Amino acid sequence: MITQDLTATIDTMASDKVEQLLQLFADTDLTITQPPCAGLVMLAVHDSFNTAFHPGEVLVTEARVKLCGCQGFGMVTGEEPRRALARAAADAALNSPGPCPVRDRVRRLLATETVRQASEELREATLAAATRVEFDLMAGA
Amino acid sequence: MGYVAVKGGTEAIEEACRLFAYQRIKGDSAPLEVAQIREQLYLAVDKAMGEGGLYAPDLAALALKQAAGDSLEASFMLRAFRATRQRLGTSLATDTSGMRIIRRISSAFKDIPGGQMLGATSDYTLRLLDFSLLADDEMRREAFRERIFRHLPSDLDIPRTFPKVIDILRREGLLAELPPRPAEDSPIPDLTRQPLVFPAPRAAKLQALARGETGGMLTLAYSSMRGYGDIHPTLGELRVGYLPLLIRHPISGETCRVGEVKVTEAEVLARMDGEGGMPRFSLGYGLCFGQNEIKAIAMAILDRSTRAAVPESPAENEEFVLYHIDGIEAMGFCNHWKLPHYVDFLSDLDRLRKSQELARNGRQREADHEQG
Repeated sequence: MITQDLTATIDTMASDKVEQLLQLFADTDLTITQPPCAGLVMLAVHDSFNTAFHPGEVLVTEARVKLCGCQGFGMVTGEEPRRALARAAADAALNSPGPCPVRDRVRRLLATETVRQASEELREATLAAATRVEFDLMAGA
Repeated sequence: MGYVAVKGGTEAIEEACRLFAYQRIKGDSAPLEVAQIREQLYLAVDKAMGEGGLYAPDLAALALKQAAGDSLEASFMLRAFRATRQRLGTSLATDTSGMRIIRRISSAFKDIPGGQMLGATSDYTLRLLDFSLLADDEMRREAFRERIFRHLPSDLDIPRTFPKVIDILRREGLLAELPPRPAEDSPIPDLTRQPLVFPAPRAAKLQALARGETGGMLTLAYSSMRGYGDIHPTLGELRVGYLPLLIRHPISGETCRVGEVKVTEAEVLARMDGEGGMPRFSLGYGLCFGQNEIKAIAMAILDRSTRAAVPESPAENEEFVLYHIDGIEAMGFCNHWKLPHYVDFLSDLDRLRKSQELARNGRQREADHEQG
């Protein structure tokens, strides 16, 4: 679960960071088993009566790779083939049961990016929290 | 009435398409980048995505550019695009309690657990033109950014998630529940693959509303609010935020977060039901892609109004509502009147002339009869 959360940050990483991540796999045995492919995932949401329904589809890109004897799967939002590939490679690197020479570097890069993303989300949450309001009732109400 | 195909006009049509594209670029202004539309006209992008039924901000921005700002055309393009892409799967069904919220208000309770957050809104402003935007440049933007962050408090208590307002009513037994839904493992109806049938399953109705056209839904909901129906809603809660897109990882089998989807959710409380002799509030539910508050509220009102036991107005008639809110179908039908109907019309014209001739002959016979 932790490794899945680490690769999730790839969805919003800057493009140059995605390339930096892919560069880590340059001298590995990375094999693309399913080239990046754009498609749709139908979103399912429960309403307030616990009825599941489909508000619409989300454009995503998915890819599969093999690295260090382990399969990797990556899916990201949007039409982003390089990003999907990076996520699949990172997924394999972090989950391979045996030794993987790039695992620590991948983990470090993604951990840094996860912190950066959390910091951005906190900044957005702080901006929203600054609009918190407490209404007072008017006299006589 | 039958349709008769025409042919020809290929060159003129191609020229007309080129002329349409030329209208967009004939001025001296700088080319509009897709990223500019996505970032600076984000509400238009959100609307197109919701009505197109496809969450793809970059493509929605592109569609708006290509359609020269026509939101119906843009959503049509998105829906056409989605038809060209394969379905890779369905997300795990998620509820909205874990939504990353950026705006949250209630008009039912002044004080709600977690507090009200106005978020990014122009609700409380005068709708006056801001002429300072005429001088929008990077320096001014930087100064604005600096100002907004300089005054940001650093000691704010920021909850990760917020409890739902309606849960307060639910706990006290003040909310009417719906009849039991189908078994958990039964597939969710999907209008992109199945036709809409009536009475519509709740899931199908919500899907139709979620991809409905904002203006059409507002019109119907407004008719109900004004008196053609009796849904006078109170907004239990309106939320804008990000829902995680979760799938089952195909290799590990674990839950995997693909990314986030921005949505607006509305829960309206409407008139009390007296079922079982126990009066309760009834709830209408709305959720759509992006930040589109009018649509989410209208959806919630229409969800509630179409549950009327005996429909007495258009907004209470489920079939009427669901058949008329799809903007792409509605604009398609309206647009088709622009296509050649020459033979149909000539036929009408011919019939009309003959009818007039018969009428004239009839009048003449009556006049002759009176004189004779």
